[in-house]
Amino acid sequence: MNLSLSILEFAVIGAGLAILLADLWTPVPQKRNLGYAAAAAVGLIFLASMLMQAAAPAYAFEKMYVLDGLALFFKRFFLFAAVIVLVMSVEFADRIEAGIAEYYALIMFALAGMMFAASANDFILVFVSLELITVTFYVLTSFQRGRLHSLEAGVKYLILGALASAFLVYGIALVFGVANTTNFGELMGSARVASARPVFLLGLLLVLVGLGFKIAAFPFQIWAPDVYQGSPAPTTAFLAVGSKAAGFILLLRVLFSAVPEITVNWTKLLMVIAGMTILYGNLCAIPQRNLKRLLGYSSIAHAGYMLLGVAAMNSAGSSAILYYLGAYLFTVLAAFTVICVVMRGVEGDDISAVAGLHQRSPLLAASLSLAMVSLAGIPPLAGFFGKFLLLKAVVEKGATQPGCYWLIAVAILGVVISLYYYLGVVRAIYWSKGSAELSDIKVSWPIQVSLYACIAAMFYLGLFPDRLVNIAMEAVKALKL
Amino acid sequence: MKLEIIPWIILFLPMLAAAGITLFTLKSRDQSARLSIGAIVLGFVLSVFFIAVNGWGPLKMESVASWLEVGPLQVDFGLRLDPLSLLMLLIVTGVGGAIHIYSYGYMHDDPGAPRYFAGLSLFTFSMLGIVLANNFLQMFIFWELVGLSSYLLIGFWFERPSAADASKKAFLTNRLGDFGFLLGILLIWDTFGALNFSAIQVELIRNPQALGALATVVGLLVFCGAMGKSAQFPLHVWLPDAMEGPTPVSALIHAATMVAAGVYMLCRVFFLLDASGSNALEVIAWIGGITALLAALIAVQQNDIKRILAYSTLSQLGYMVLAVGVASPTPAMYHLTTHAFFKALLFLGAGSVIHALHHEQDIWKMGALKNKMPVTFWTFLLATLALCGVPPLSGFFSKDEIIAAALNPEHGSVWLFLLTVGVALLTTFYMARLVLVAFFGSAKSHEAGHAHESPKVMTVPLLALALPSAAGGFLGIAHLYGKQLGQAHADYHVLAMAVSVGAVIFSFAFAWGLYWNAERDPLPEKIGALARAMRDRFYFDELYEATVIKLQEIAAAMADWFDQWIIAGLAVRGIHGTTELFGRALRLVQTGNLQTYAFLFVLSVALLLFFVL
Amino acid sequence: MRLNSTTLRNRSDWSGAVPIRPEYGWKIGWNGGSRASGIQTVTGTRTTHMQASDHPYLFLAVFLVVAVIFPLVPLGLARLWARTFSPPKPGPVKNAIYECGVESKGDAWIQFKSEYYLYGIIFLIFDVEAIFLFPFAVAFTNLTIGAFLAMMMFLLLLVEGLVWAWQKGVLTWK
Repeated sequence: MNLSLSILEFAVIGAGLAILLADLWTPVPQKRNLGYAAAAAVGLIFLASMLMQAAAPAYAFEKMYVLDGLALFFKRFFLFAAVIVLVMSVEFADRIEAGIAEYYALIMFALAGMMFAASANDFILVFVSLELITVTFYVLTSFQRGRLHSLEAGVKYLILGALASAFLVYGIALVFGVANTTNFGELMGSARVASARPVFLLGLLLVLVGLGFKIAAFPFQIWAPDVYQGSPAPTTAFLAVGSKAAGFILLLRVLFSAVPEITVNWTKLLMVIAGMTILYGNLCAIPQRNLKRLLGYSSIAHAGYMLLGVAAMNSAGSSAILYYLGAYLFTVLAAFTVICVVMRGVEGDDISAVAGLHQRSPLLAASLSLAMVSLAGIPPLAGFFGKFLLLKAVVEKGATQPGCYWLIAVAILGVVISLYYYLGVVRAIYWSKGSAELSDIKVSWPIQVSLYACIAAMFYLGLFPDRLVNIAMEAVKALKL
Repeated sequence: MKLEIIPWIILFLPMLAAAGITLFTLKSRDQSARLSIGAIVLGFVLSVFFIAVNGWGPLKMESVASWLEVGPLQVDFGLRLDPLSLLMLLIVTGVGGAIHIYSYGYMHDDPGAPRYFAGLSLFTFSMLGIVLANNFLQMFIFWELVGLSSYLLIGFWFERPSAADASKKAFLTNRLGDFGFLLGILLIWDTFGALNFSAIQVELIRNPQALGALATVVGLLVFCGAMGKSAQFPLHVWLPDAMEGPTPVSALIHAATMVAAGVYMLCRVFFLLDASGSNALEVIAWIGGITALLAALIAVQQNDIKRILAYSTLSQLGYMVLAVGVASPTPAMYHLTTHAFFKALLFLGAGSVIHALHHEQDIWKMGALKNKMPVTFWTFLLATLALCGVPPLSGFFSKDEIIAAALNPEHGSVWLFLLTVGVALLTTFYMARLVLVAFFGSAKSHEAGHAHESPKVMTVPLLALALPSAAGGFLGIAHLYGKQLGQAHADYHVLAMAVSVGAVIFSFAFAWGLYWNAERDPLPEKIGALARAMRDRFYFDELYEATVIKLQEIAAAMADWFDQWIIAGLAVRGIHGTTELFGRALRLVQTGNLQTYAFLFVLSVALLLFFVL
Repeated sequence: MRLNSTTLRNRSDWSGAVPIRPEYGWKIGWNGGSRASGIQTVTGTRTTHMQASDHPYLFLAVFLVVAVIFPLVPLGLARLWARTFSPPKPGPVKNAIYECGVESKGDAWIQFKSEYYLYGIIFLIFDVEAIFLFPFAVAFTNLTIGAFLAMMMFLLLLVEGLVWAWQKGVLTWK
């Protein structure tokens, strides 16, 4: 057993426990600043992860846990996201009545869950890490105990999440019942034989249902808008980025390293799901006035775009997902950071709250506009290149599967529709008279730093995408494509 | 080797200016204007210098920096320097420079001037990017940037709702075309495995059947992009509305450069449209012809001076696209060049009039401006004559070649020829109407009676543009394009010349009879319903309103309904107990929402299993 | 387990004659049997008769009828008995909620102190801990140093939880 492989996870858990303990002896006014300590700790772990190499896959815990390029890519992704989310939480601290240190610690525990998910090579670890993520999120979504919306979001997430977990674990049980193993490597050997048994397929489909819930794919997307709207902004950001990415890495692992032989039969299914998810997210977002809910629908649509990469079933598609997630990370974090700062004392998160934002704070206005433009997929920002690579991957698939062209048409239609509501936000920022308050917004320096970092990354990824794409290409070699 | 850096400098100067303005000089109007104007004028000087030293260059000279290497996808960030792009470089920096200087006078009193100049520089940068791009992806990215910066410029006066709507409309319409373009690019990449223009050309020469059955589709998809940018029917609706922007912007974007980008792109990838097995050219020719005719008809009954010019632009763009469609890219580019000069001149002249009349744009409220604004009048008249195709002005030569090309039996047809002649007739008619009503006769409003000539900073660019508008036919432009794109057909010139001059004389006489000293438009009485249809732009906007936008609204409304009633209605409102209809039933089960959710969830699972297993 | 043997016998009898879904007989027999032992004999005899009959579902109908009638007959008898021998005579005392014990006061929907749950959870954690500690203690002499460290780690985590709860004031009843 090689414990040193999961040193990053242990470090994160240790830091989380340390924050919990430190909280006990920190005077109340200082508790808020524990978030900076947490962010610094996670940042250090992030830097340490940069030193790690994963040339060949290494296994631990009896092959339950794998450390390869793909896992490392996602671990870095989650760590970076957590740093920004923690900084954002400090900004959010005064809106949480009590237990802010627990909020930080829970974010870190969720982070640990995501990092374990990145390394999952066994259905047991899939389940355990997903539960670690989901259970912490139940608490994180309802952390604003005084707000009815937050509680509502928490309860909805709890019940629907439990339902999804039930399907997932039932599916895992069925798979185990037929194949007599839960390990991905062993499954790959026996999947061909087992795939003749409908029960085995049933089990896999139920696993997909559980994962589809995590990434909010159609038709399991119903929870997303309500929960996104109700949760505290940092939670929503982490949900949109971290939890979704965790769902995708697990999806990729299950589909392409546990049962690749069966996955190829599901091209059509995945294509339909991708198309429907794109259309649903974009169409529902059009009439939205609530900014967080709008981003909730938009995140459904983006899950749909990323599913294009899954449906393409080639390494170009999977690496495009990784790139897209990278672009999405910076974009969404920038958007939510701005929302977190601007929506202070605004009930309802209505778009009108950002009206005239460019007079109140040019930096926030520019960040949110750029985020919207990037989400809409307009060059030279990162979002464009992600969509380009995904569509390219599907076009490559089109040679063998003519239905792909329809899928591309749907995706492009979705992009055109999405312009409508993204530009609506930009328009509100610059082109409508500010509502009630027009005082300047003070932006603390850690928030400034993270916003500048996100903007720089959006431009960098859009202008020089090849570095990240090559890393992604290298990472997806771990999958059997 | 040193010389190679000059085009890079030309490309990035405007971007630096835009960045400098947004970062540092947003407070100072003069400094911003100086930065912006300096960048483009320097760019123009450098372009001239480059061409003087380097000549028109070896036919294909590429300056390349590796940009992207993603597995099989290799994209360079390169500049392609050949007569086509070098001439366009001159047009963009030259005409653009004149417009920049003119703007300094025009925007003198506007508090948002720094923002305006930043937008102008950003636009110049992206336009230069399109011109110099050596591969599809790079071109597409700048293509989008052009769309974005024109969005910012059209919506410059965002306090006006009409301007904000116009900019949104322009952007969305353009994007619609752009996605066709993107799809085309993806297909091209799929087929050739390369995006570099010359690489594709070489591949296509080596294997003419490379595209196979997709040839027409690819050609038309690429043309979709041009349809959006060059405002071809049926995506033409955005261009007239775009006149909501400041007049110099109209001149820069909607006359000289941005709308020309579509035609330029078609010429750049002409080898692809002309590929064997492709019928794309035929469609292109007819779409160009229809656009030209429709727009000319509409222009006859418009009263807003900028709208007349806008429809005239549409009509001339239709000409150019038609020329590409009859396999004559050289006349298309030639007309694009001369058109850039005289149409920019017309717009700037119109801007001068509007400026003098305190933003009055209705030609029936002008009149008798001939003596009050002599410079504006004479340059405007010169540009009008050039547009109508009066020899020996520049427009005569280029238009003549297009008419001749339409007659060429190899690609053109008699019908296309008649179409071009009809458009030529209409062009003279509506331009004569504009000049006769606005500059002659009696002053029809108080402002028109007290008009004064515009300041020097505005008239000098007019004079500067008048020169190439007049002499553009003698500069050997067509020869330069011909070197790269193939010479124009020499036949049929005499017939075309005779027909086009005849059309000018006939049409002008007709307009003289109707509009000399007219106080109001006599045409509606004579042709009734047709005139109304022309005035109302053949109801295209209404049609789109009724179909495209309505469809989108319906889809949105349906999604909204689903969201509101099935999800939020049964749910959130149930909790608050506000829905009167369902309230009582739902109060019994307060978690109605969750049950609905859970029910939908399980139903989905069941459906999924049903369909897959 | 007489029940199981009869149902199994039924099933094996069937498997030759009726190939369709033999589980039915098993399931229903089990359900009926669990309610009252008397039914078991009925099903047993019926099904053996049924072997001659060619409709496999006939027994279901018969079973259903019997299942409805059987509880109805005693219920009806009881009702008749009650009407004759103990006619209803309601009164305030008779209608009171409890026949004996203390009358409840106020609403049953009261708020519990959340400390109950915290106590409960902490108790549960240490309860579970004991389950792990017991085998550890029994096998202690044969264990490696690694196992010892792992166990100490486990204890440390629990101790941290305890310290946290203590400091947060969970253990003081307010």
